[in-house]
Amino acid sequence: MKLKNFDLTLLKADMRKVWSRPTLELVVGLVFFISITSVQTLFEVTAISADFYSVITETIVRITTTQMLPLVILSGILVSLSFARDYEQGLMQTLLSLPVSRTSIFAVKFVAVVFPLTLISWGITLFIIAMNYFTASSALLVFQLSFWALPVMLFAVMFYAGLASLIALVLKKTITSTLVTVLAGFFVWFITTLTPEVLGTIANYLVFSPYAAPLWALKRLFGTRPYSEPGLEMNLPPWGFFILIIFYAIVFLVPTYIYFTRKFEVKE
Amino acid sequence: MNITRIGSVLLIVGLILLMNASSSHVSGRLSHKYGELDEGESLSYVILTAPVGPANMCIGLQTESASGLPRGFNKNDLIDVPVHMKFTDPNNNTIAEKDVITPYCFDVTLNTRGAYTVHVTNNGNTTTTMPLVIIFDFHNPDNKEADKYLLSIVLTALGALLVAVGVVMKFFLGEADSTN
Repeated sequence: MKLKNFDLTLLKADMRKVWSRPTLELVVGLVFFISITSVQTLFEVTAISADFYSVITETIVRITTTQMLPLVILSGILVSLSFARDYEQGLMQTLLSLPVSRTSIFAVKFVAVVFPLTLISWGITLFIIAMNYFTASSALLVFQLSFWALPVMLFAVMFYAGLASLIALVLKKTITSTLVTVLAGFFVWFITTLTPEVLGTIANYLVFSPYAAPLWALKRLFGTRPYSEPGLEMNLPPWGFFILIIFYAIVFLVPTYIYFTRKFEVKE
Repeated sequence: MNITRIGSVLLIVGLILLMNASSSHVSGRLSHKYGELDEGESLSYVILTAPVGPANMCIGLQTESASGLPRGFNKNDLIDVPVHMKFTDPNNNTIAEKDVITPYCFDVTLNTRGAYTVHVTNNGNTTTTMPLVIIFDFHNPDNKEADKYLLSIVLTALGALLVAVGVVMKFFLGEADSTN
């Protein structure tokens, strides 16, 4: 029990360090700004009965798509700073000398970035969707549909945070690991912008990339993109994309955790 | 997290929202046409909208065709058609209901967020298209989202108040800043 309290204290201290002024303000401002500018004034005329479903789902997908690149960069930078800066400043040595397991230290550092960042982006998504589409008749629909953005964002942020923590632990330099993480994030985004004209039919398989898979999980779940041509890349159901993004979420996390708990050493 | 930081986050969100809500508004002429309406047949247009203020709505206002023929000259783009129209707000209250001759234009104020409905029944003896045209003034500041604008002002004011209270508490009452 005492150990758990200590872990909680450690988590609070780490969150306070990572999200100190002006990081929280900048992250909220940036994510809110890019999200709100991706949403147009609600004005749709249809000939069918009143149905907010398609309008809300299109907006959630648009907001999530817009948020994805900044979240990739932010999660990478914050996790790099959290691990590599502590190493450079000698705080890691102090942390490892405390009566706390390496598992706890790793979990605290990871959770201190991933969970608040996910909650900030999801909270902003929910706020914008509620602000635009909340009416007496659509209240439940707003919360039901917005909820699905939460796991998608969590797994996406976990993937980049896992990658960033691996880079930070290997390079052990704040600036270097931050730059490498940002470049890796841009690279993962960049390859999804390549079209079949450039890459040929292989471009269709980019829907399985770590950047595009979370967005396609949402699109398939909401039915905003129809199943089209033959081939797995065009017909993978939503649960398939969810399995894929869960795999991506742990693909760097597990080796990084093993490296941190068994091989990682602090050298003077 | 102390009161100053909560205030500064609210202030940032409020200012961004204020900038967004005061700059974006609907403008111009929007025309919608879905199929043709046979004799005695009904059609409903659903307008999902924010509270964007005053507009002029026209039922059966035919637009010029791509072939260059004047309005109402195409076989099924007729004017002077007797119709029964009913306009309801998002709470299903009837705002207007009457028998009219197309094109029929009337002023509306869209002041509630939700789905407005226009029901039209063709009382004539011919098949015709029944476009719905909604006309907003060109760049009229009244056509901004009223509720979003109000929310942005509330958030900005609340944020500024909390920052001010936090600063006062810190400098005059000696409360320590525990966040950094």
